[in-house]
Amino acid sequence: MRALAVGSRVEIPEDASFPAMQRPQYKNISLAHLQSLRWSLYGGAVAPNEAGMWVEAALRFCELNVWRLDRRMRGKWGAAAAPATVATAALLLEGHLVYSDPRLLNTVLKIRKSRLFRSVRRTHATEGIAALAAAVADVSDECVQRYSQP
Amino acid sequence: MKPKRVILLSPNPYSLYTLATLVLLTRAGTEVAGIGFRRLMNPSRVLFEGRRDGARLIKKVCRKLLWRRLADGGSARNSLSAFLAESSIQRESVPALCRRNGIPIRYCYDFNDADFVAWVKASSAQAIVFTGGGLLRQPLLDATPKGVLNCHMGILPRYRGMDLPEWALLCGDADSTGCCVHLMDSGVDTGPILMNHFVPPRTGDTVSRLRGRIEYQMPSVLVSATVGYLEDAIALRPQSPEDGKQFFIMSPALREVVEYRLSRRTISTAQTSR
Repeated sequence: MRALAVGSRVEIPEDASFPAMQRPQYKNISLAHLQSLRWSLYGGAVAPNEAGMWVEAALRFCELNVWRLDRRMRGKWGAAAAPATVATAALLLEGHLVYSDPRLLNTVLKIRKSRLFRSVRRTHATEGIAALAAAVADVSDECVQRYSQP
Repeated sequence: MKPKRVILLSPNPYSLYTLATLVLLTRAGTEVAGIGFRRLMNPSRVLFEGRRDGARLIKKVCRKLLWRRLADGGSARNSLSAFLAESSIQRESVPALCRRNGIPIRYCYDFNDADFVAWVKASSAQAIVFTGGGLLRQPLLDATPKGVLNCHMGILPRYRGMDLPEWALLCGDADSTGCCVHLMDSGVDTGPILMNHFVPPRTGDTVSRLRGRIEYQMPSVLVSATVGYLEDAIALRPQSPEDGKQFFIMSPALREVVEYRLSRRTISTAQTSR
């Protein structure tokens, strides 16, 4: 993510595939698809428009009744809600870095306030997802700072 | 020429925006066939707006209904209150004004209720003028021959959704702040455009002052677009979905950035003017 933030090239895994769905709907996405979608943003594995539609779908899901995001994420992901929330925030932040769309950063800032996101560092302290949450927090702060610069 | 006849929809009986729009419509020779109010003590409304706005709802209610006079006090020529004063409009509740002028009023929990839609249809109004009060469904959108007009606090088609002056400023598009009158459809601010009115930020503006200046313009813009549309003097400009994006409530961190940008703009403008 940091590499994306500074514009460095990122090697993507060969097995990264894109979810084959006709209509982008966040409620139909799996964790594996979420991960593939993130890779696609790094490597341009899919047409920018198509990836953008998926990011937009994730944005709308998160923004709809954002004050009840925890409940909606638990409804969609069940026990994996916390890691999925962090992965979704990472997807949106990477989308912001690729498309320069401030709406995506805005949603990331809201997701960061959710209990699920905040709980990850405690409940998954030794796992990579906690590091990803920390990276999302750091990079999103940097992005906000960048908007303040002339 | 057919008489211009409209129904007005109001979010509550104390809306200054509705009051200003009603008076200006009457002055422009438009017959107001009735006004529909959404009840304030309405559980489904509180639930919906609470889910949408969260804690902001409390702030919004306090600002709009409880301490509006105080909030407006520090910014002359900057608010609906100032607009009412300068337009010689007496500040009173909308139902009181309607009773004095014999305008029919109707209260409802939701504008989409079948009873309310039937009332609108029976009024034989040409169009509905919307000054707030929630989402409108297709039966109400189709209840009059000329549809529903809304004044949106953003420039269409680019800026749809919420907090649009802030978003325009954050996107570096400071000249794209203002309001737009459009016909409502089932999408979010995607209906055909009647009129865009630009209100760019000035030296010394904060976000709330800029919003106040846009609010100040909205009743006049809405009424002039309504009259022009009913007289077939304004052509509709259709939008397509990809012409713009839907924006959502801005987070406090980005809002601070916008305030900072506005303050910097103030400094640079002041330097230029020297």
